Amino acid sequence: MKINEKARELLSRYLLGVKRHLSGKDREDIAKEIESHIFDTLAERFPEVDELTVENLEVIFREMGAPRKVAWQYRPQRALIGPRFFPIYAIVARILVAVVVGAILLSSVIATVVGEPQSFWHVLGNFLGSAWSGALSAFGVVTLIFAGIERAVEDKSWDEMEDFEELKEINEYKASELPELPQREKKFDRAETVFEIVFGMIGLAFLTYIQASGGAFPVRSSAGESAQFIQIFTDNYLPLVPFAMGITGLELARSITLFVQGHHSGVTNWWHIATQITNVILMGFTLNAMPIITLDALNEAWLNVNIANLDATANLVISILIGLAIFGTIIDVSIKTYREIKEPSC
Amino acid sequence: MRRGVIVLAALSQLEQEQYGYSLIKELNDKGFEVGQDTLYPLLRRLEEQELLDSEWRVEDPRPRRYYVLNNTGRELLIQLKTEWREQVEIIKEIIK
Repeated sequence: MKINEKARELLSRYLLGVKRHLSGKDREDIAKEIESHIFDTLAERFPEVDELTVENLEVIFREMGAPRKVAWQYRPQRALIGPRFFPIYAIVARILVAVVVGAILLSSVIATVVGEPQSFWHVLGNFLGSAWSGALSAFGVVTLIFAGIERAVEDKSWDEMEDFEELKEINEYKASELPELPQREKKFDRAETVFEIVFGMIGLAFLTYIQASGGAFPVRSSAGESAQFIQIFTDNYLPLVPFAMGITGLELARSITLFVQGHHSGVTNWWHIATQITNVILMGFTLNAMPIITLDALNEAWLNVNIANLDATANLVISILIGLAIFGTIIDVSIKTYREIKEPSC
Repeated sequence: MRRGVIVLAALSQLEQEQYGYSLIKELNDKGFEVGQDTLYPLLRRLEEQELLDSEWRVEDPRPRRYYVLNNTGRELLIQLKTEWREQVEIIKEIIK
């Protein structure tokens, strides 16, 4: 029995939907068994069909229900909020968090207009602090309420929940709600990951050296002479070195995790996004700390080139490079975040 | 009650190996209605409890996972059958 291309894609999307609601090492195996069951059912229902179509598949999917419903049967009853209630929980949590943050924004605006004059940064800091605690409280309350509901009905099967008609409806199969296949998912490249690990270790060693030497490097001005330590990184940069080491260490740990697990996952992708955001913040502080290098002493002892304003020029070049890196990283992080939200990795 | 009965019904049909779909068909043909949403997770739980053995086998035209009772499962089945018959007799006495 053949299956046409569109039906094959629909089946893959359905199975991907099931896998996204499962966890653990058996996830692939469960999906494979469901696929086997679907083909057995199709073979019995449509024995005369040479090539299965989307319509044939959808007959079976409508009987099985939404992928989350299928996946739920395999999950232990330990989830804080199971997939029966998760769709409603997600909607309620989003609405409530948006309302709370909106209300706090409004009150901040009113307080700014009618209250004592305050600096922009003070107002922004107050708003972010209030918004964060308000959103967290709203999220926590909704989570607790739904966890309570989940416990109250945990012994009921999906079909026994006659009182929740709306819930049954949202757990019905709808093709429009199936996840898209990750077309542009980054393929795992072992060589690239090894390169990242090696590069990360070199970076970490370099930063450790800067930290230990106070930004000075040994330079030998001519053969036979003993090396003298010359300051390259300024005192403005040195306080930022521990943060740079921290970010490099986090990225190195991510590369090692990636190497061990052998594929990109939601955890490693979000991990990468988080370290990139932290890196952008650090680059912002680095720009603010300019000048971060001084080359005059090095030039005098070793380079001997005649360039006016060497320090200023070098720092200007570094500033431009950091500015470009910030711009590029923000675009990259935005794309990755959008993709990860729209098509979450398993 | 039905949950316990499903376990007994499934185990009783697995003295000879079966894949999920064939087991559902067999139970349904004998008048015991059970769906894939109940049976497949149950088979996995029984296997986790080391009552069943399973293996993937590629048989034309697709791979299927076959389940069969192991010794522990067989012992439990005997015990469940005995308990079931005793319960049936008790209930018969009660409702007559």
